[in-house]
This record gives sequence, C-alpha cells and structure tokens, in this order.
Amino acid sequence: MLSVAWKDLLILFKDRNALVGAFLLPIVFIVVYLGVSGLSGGGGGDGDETRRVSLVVVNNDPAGATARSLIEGLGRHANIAVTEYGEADARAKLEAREIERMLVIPAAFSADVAAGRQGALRLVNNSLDRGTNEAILMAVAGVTRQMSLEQQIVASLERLADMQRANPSFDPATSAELAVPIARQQFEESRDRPLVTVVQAQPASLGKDRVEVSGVQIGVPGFAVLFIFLTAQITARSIYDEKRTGTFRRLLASPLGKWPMLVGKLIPNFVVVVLQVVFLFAAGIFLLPLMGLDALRLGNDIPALVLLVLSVALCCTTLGILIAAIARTEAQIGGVAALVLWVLAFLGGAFIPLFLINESMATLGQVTPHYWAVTGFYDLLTRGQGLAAILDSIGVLLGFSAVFFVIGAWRFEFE
Amino acid sequence: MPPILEADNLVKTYGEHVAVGGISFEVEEGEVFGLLGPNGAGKTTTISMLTGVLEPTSGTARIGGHDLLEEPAEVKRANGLVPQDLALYPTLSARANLQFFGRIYGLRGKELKDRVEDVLEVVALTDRADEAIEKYSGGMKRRINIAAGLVHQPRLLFLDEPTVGVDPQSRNHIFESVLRLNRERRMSIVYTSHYMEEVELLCNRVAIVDQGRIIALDTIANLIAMLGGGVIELGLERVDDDMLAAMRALPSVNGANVVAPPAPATAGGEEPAMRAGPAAPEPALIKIESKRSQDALVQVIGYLNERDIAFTSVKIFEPNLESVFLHLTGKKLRE
Repeated sequence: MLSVAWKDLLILFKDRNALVGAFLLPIVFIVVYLGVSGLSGGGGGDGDETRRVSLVVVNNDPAGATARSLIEGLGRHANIAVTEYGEADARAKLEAREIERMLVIPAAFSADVAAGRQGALRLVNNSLDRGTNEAILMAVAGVTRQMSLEQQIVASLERLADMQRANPSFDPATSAELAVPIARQQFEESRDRPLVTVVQAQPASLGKDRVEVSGVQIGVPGFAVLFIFLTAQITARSIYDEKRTGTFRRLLASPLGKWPMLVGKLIPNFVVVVLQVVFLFAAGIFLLPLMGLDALRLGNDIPALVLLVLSVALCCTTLGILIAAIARTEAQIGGVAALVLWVLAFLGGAFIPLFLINESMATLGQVTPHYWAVTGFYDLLTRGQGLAAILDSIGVLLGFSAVFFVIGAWRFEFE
Repeated sequence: MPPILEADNLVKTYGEHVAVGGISFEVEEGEVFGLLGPNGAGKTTTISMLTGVLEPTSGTARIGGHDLLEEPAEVKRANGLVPQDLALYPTLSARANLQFFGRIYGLRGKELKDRVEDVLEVVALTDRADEAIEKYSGGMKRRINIAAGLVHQPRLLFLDEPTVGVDPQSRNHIFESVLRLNRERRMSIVYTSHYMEEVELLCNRVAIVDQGRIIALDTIANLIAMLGGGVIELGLERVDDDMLAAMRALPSVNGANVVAPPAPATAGGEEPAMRAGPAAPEPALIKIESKRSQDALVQVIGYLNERDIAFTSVKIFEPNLESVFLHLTGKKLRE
C-alpha cells in the first residue's frame, strides 16, 4: 500500500504541470483576485496620499461642544472628508451602499465625556476594503485619543484648582509639585480607560454573521478550497493512466490486494492536499506581505485548523475515487473536473463568500463540500472562532467523505 | 512432479458474450507452453484469469500447488505477468520501476537490490537503468517490461504477446531471454502469441485457441503430424458438392472442403498470392489436405482442366502450425 503511494508521489513530483497546477496556480489566482477586486486588505496603501476617504458623521448630540470638537478634529484630518447626515438618511444610504461607512455620535456624548463617563462612538462599515476601514478607524481613534487626553488633563487641572480653593493656607509654590503627578495619573487613565471609545459594526446587509472581512482572509482560504478540490482529479487521472498503460493489470496480478491498492492510490492525493494547504497558507503569511498585501492570520485555534485541513483532505481524496469510478475516459475526467469541481466551488462560496451574496445561493451552496470547507476556514481564520464552531463543518465533511468513498468503491471497476 | 499449472474448465462471460468458454490444460514444471490463436481468441482473458487479474465466471486453476480462488495471494506470488501493453511508469527510471514492482511482491532491502540488478542483467539494460523509461526505444521498453515480471523470481511466467510492435533485433533478444530463463533457471513459461513462428521456436507444447476454446493441444511435432503432407488452398471461380466429392476421391487427396470466398485484396497485401486473379461470379476457396501435396496438386489441377474450371489462386501450405490452424478452423491465424 505504501509502496503504491510512494511510487505515485514520485510520479506526481516529476510532473511539472501537476505541480504548477496544484501549488503555483492558486498563488497566482489569489494575487490576481486580490488585485482585481481591491480586497487586498490595504497593507499600508497604494501611495495615493492625496486621496481623501469619505466619512459620513451622524451627530445625535448637535448641541454638545465635545461632539462638535470631534467633528472639527476629523475635518482637519488630511485623509478624511467629513459629511454630516441625519441618522435615518445615513442608514438608508449605507444599506443602499451609496456610502461605505458612517460614524454615529450618541445623544449624550458631550455630557458623558464632560462628566468623566465613557462615551462610545459607533463606526459602521459596509465596505470589504479592510485597509481603508482600518485607516478610518485609526484616524477616528487618533482624534478621540487626543480629545480624551485633553479632557482629562483639563479635569486634573480643575481638581488642582479645587484643592487650592478648599485650602486657604495652600502654598502656591507646591502647586507645581502636585500638578505633575496628578497630570501623569490622568494621562495613564486616559490611556488605559479612554473617555471615548470606537465600536465597529456592520450593517445587516453584510450578512447575519459578523465577519471581519478582509481580502486575504477571504481569498486565501477560498482559493485554497477551490484548488484543493481540483486535486481530486489526481486520483482519478492516476487510476485512469494505470488502466490505460496496463500497469493496473500488473498491480492486480500482484499479491497486494485490491483494497490496499486502492487506498495506496488515495494516499498521495491526501498528502498533496495537506501540502497544498501548508504551502498556500505559508504563502499567505510570508509572501503576500512582501507584495504589499496583508498577512494571512491563522486564527486562534491551530489544532482545530489542523483537524479541519485533514477533514477537507479526506473529503477531497474520496471525491477523487468517486470521479475515478464514474468517469471512464480522460475526457470524462476532465469534464467532471471542469463541471463539477468549478461549479461546486462557485456554489460553495470558494470564489465569493456566500454571506456576501443572496440567501438562496447560500442555501444551495450548503449541498457542496466546498461550502463546509470554506465556512470552517472562515470560522477559524476570519471570525477567530475555535473547534466548537467548526464541528458542524468537520462532521459534514466526514459525512461527504463516507458517501463519496462508499459510492466510489461500489461503482469502481477493477476489471 | 506435479504440474506447475492445472487450469480446470475456466469460463469467462460478459453478459451474453462468452470470452472463454471452458479451457482446461496443464503446464509441466520447466516447460514452455504456448497459447496460439488469433486476436480475440481468448488468450489474454485466459491469462488474466490465471494471474488473478480477472475473476473466472466458473472453473478454477491450481498454480504451484495453490488454488486460484482459495489462495489467491500464494498463486500471485508464484506467478509473473508480462502484459501485452508496456505496463511501466514512463517518467520513472527502469531501476525505480523494477524496485516498485519488487516491493509490491514484498521484496525489501538487499534482496530487492540484488533482484533488480539481476533482472537488469537478464535484459541487458544495466548501463541504462537510471534513465527514465520514456527515453527508451520501443525494444528496450519491451525488455524492461519483461524484467518487471521477473523481479520477484516467479515459478511460472506468463508472457502475453511480448513481441508485438518490436523490431527484429529486440525480438531476437526477447527470444534469447525466454530460452535462457527456461534453460538456466528452469522457469516455467506460458507464452501467448498469434505468431506461429515464435511458438514453434520457443514452446514444447502448444494449445491452439479459437473463439474461447482450446481446439488442439499437443507437442508441435504431433500437431503438425495431424496434417501429414500439408494443405493446398485453391481459389475457384465456382464450386459445388459434386466437385468436392470428386476431388476427395482423387488418390492423393485426404480431404477437400470449402473454406470461404476469396477476400478482396487487402491494403497491406498480406497474402497477395491468395488474392490474385480476376473476380469470379460465385468464387470459392477450397482447402485440400494431403499427405503428398505435390501429387495432390497435379491430380486436382488435372481434374479441373477436364471439367474446364478455372482457378484463381493456388497456395501450398507447408506443414506447420499455421496450416494446422487452417485445418482446424478454416481460418488463418492472422485473419
């Protein structure tokens, strides 16, 4: 069994076309996809420093001085063009995707900040351009941080003045000695517990799931799943070649046994899929940043990721045996690969995440293994979830594997 | 000594089609046994059943003392198969191919290494062993194809049409290899071919196979002796039963039968003598068996002249397996 697997790996690694298709083509697709779609995730920009990003501000605290001060501060920012709208208008435009983001200032914002209570701004994005979203967030956070500091230093000086008023014998010479530690304490407080916080959110139109949408986080796992399942052809083509050249007869005439032989034919597919994932994810982590793109983040649960990769590899490998069983000619294998694998990949959300398209497509996509693979990767890599969140994906992928293997083995013709 | 192979009424059917319709024969230890028959006769299907590639519809066999159906692994270890196709991995070197085929028979380590070197020597390709098979000539590929069936030292080697598409030099090399394996290593061999010259050269005994059945099985000498003098094939512009009866009555003629209408001349011109002559209104090809072919031919031509019947072709088959096959089936081996 291992002899068959090792021999097939040797043959595979001598096949340059197969290697390019399995390892380099996905990288090219990912880079082109990120470049064309503008989903690069920013990574620091495109050198267009004069470009001003539009930010709609909804001011629910029109009389508040702090709110006004915040808007003026944002307006002075070199890269932000501020426009004010009423909340209903802004929300409608956001849902209609006429605007990409809005900053909501709550009604009692100025009063809360003046009273030393934390005021929460709400930054709502419906853009997939994570780089710009982060730039806006940083700009807003920068302005609010200055405001927090200013507000708290003013508060510390007011405390000092109160102390002087409360104590007539207070020596003015000691005020400076007192002022410095008080100011330092307020500065620390402003850093640890800022008076103004910014909460990010997404509108309902971006889907039920709250996903941190990033081109790299979407593109790398999506295309990885697409190309992983394309390697299901490896098993089918390898078996077809063995039958065509007559080596299959030799294998059947050996004491190897039919089932060990078949499992031996499956192992290389499994190994290649695992290597593909490692290679593509490594490229996402190390190569994409060199090209000015975001680095891929692997999420918070590496053991769960390993488990998911193994489940996907098993599913893809057993799909290969099914294709080998139903496709009798090279043309049929190519046809099945082109039709089933690409169509399934599209339906399953490997090209475009299903939470970004309509609900019926998303429902249809659930009948594909690609959907569960992609969803599992998004849960781990993009949503930062753990094993519990992907148990359904793993379960469904193992179910697909069992179905593919049973039907493939049942329909497989050894003679 | 018990036979190395005892095939017992092997049958293989595909739906209504009977590929092998009950074949039984024995191969003695150290024997080169031939399966001779035209393409599609059932030779490869028979070999496929005996090597465990195909499951017989019915019947069984014992090879090396093991039952084909009950002890398939032992039977497969005793067998070596050299398929008709070039059953090799073209991108791998000859050595890598042989190592793989040794491993699947359980060879490992030094034993595997020694066996690979040995078979490379047998097929005289040691110096090219590390080149990819795809760079080999057709004849070299055939030789490695044989080596791959030998690497685990089988007791019984099945060679299925091993010289198809091979140049004369490589064919001779294959013949020498087969004879050396048999004589020097006492390897038993089942050799299938539709070339009677190869079977005559290599085999001790021959089973003639046609339409999935063995129609004759004996030593080559005995099979040829069936015919006596030989066979005359005569193309006539017309023939009837009275004429056939009259020819059978001629002193040197043992038998006269209609074979088939003469076929139109083929593009390949395989048998131009048989196709010569103008087309007749109701042509017929008759086969005349005789112990003294020349006398029989003189008598038959005299008879035809008396009756004013023209003949369109004449061919005398010397006594050989081709004429035996013609005698038994009314067909030529390579039709």
